[in-house]
Amino acid sequence: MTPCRVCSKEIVSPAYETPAPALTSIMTLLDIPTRVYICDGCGHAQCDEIPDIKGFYDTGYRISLSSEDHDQIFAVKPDGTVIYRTDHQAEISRNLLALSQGAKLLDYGAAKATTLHKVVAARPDIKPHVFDVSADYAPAWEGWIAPEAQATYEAPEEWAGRFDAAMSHFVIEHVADPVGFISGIRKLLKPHGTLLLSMPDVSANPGDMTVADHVNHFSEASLRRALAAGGFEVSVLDTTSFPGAFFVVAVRSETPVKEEQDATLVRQAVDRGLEICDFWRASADGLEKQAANFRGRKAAIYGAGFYGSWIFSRIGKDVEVTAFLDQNPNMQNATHFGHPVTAPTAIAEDAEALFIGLNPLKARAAIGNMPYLHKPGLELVWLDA
Amino acid sequence: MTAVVITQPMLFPWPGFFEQLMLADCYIYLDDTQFSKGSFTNRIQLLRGNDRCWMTIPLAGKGSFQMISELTAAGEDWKASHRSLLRQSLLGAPYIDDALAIFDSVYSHSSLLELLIASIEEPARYLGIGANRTIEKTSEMGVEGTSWQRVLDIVLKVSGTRYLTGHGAANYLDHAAFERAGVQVEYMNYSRTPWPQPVGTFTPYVSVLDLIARMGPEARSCLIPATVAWQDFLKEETVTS
Repeated sequence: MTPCRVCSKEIVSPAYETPAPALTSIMTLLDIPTRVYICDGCGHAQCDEIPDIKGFYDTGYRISLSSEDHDQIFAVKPDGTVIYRTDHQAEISRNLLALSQGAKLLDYGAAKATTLHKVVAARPDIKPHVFDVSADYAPAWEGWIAPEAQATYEAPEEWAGRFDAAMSHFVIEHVADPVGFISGIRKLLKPHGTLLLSMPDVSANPGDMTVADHVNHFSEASLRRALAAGGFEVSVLDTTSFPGAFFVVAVRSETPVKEEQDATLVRQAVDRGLEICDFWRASADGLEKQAANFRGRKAAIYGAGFYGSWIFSRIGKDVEVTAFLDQNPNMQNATHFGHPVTAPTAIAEDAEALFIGLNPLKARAAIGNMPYLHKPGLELVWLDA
Repeated sequence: MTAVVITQPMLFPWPGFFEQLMLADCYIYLDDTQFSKGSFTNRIQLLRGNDRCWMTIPLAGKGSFQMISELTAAGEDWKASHRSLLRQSLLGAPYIDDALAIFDSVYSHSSLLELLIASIEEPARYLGIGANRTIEKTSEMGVEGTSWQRVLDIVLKVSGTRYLTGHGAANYLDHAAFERAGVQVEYMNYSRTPWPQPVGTFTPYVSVLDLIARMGPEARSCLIPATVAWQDFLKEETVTS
């Protein structure tokens, strides 16, 4: 039995449970089981808090610190221009926040504050501020954010009621008390100040459900409920600008917000959550059987991203992993969990199985276009088999 | 628009390759690159009962560190055993004689490179593909260099404006450089259209001779070429942090 982090209703038992190890969003393994609970009161899904959560984000969580230029390709325009994820986030942020001239903008849980940096590049009149629960990112803020506009661990008391707007990109899914997190930002905003939150939409991105440090998996229903509980009125809920994610804009309310619940939205969220849990349960069971089939034998894993890493977490102790195969040249010639990452054409001749770590909706089409991966003696193992 | 395909010579490749060939205005054999063990240069899969097997040309010195144009076969015995293997694989197929006739014509070449090139050209002729194609060999084009820059220079040398490639290229091409040079890169989206095979689950990854033996003059109807622009091919979709 565990209380829902959004509406506090007790959730009797997990909808999905699998033993250790658990995979984090930064592709590390934690020696904890994965348990997903789904709340039928508000449609929220949540996982157990990871051990020493403060320490993990203070010193263990190292997103983008290893590379200056680390960024994901979001899309490519017809003229060949590559759109990177942070550029896209910055553009959505500028459009959704509609900041007034000279507005004070806080990036809450900023990490390197790359998105904020790009917002400021396009809007030099904005007065940027950053807050994070780790001091590790401070060097990335030097030179473009005034020292008094930087804070780590605790937001200064004098920041209360200071900001015209705050944004927090892909942070709230990590926090153990999301309503407290929202309330905390509310205190820092001016009356009627604007909040922009972004987070994974697990219904469109089912892989998110098993990420160990994503302890919250919001649905539209639970997101609206959490914002209301934190003292905000939702003005925009955007599910299309960034596929697989919610971008929500909410305005600080000066009166208590009624925590209304749309029963249809809650039901849909619960059904989708259970469906995703069923998929992962079946996949985990299938992998367990295949790991037994190929115990001590050589196998490769296609994909060094989330799905491939998750497969490794389930089979890595049983089979002899020869390599991760990945089309992304930025990942090749490196190691992942101690195994080489190579181009798919370089699959070892003696690998007896290839575990396909791709989004199951696209996996068969992608692998089908690679004739060199279809050969006698190489069994393809699918997540949704 | 001139569409260019550049690939290594291959032994009777799978039908998907011929879909690529159907789109090519200019086809270039990359014969002056180093032979890669485990590639399709000297081997192809055939059906064998419920399973598949390799038909592999044994290479002198195993082909180690040799250019494809310099490869030689080890002995001659393999020609007879390949014919027997192929005949066994295609037994009962209505157009087996067409496939074996192509095989015999191709295997009459004594030069291994010419044999490999013929193993693409002869099936292509049977399938009515690309009678007007320009065909070149990189060893005779005088284009130096390495990696994607050489590929681009080869495409430009034949005035190419589209470069059609398989998925193995994604890891080394500088797509933006192709774009700047006026060449659109497109990745094959193979149809993998099924044709009747005698037993087991259908597989498209066997030699084109299997398709010809079972479909005869109708074989071409199983070839439905399509491509994906590189811009769509390279999109990532992760939202995990």
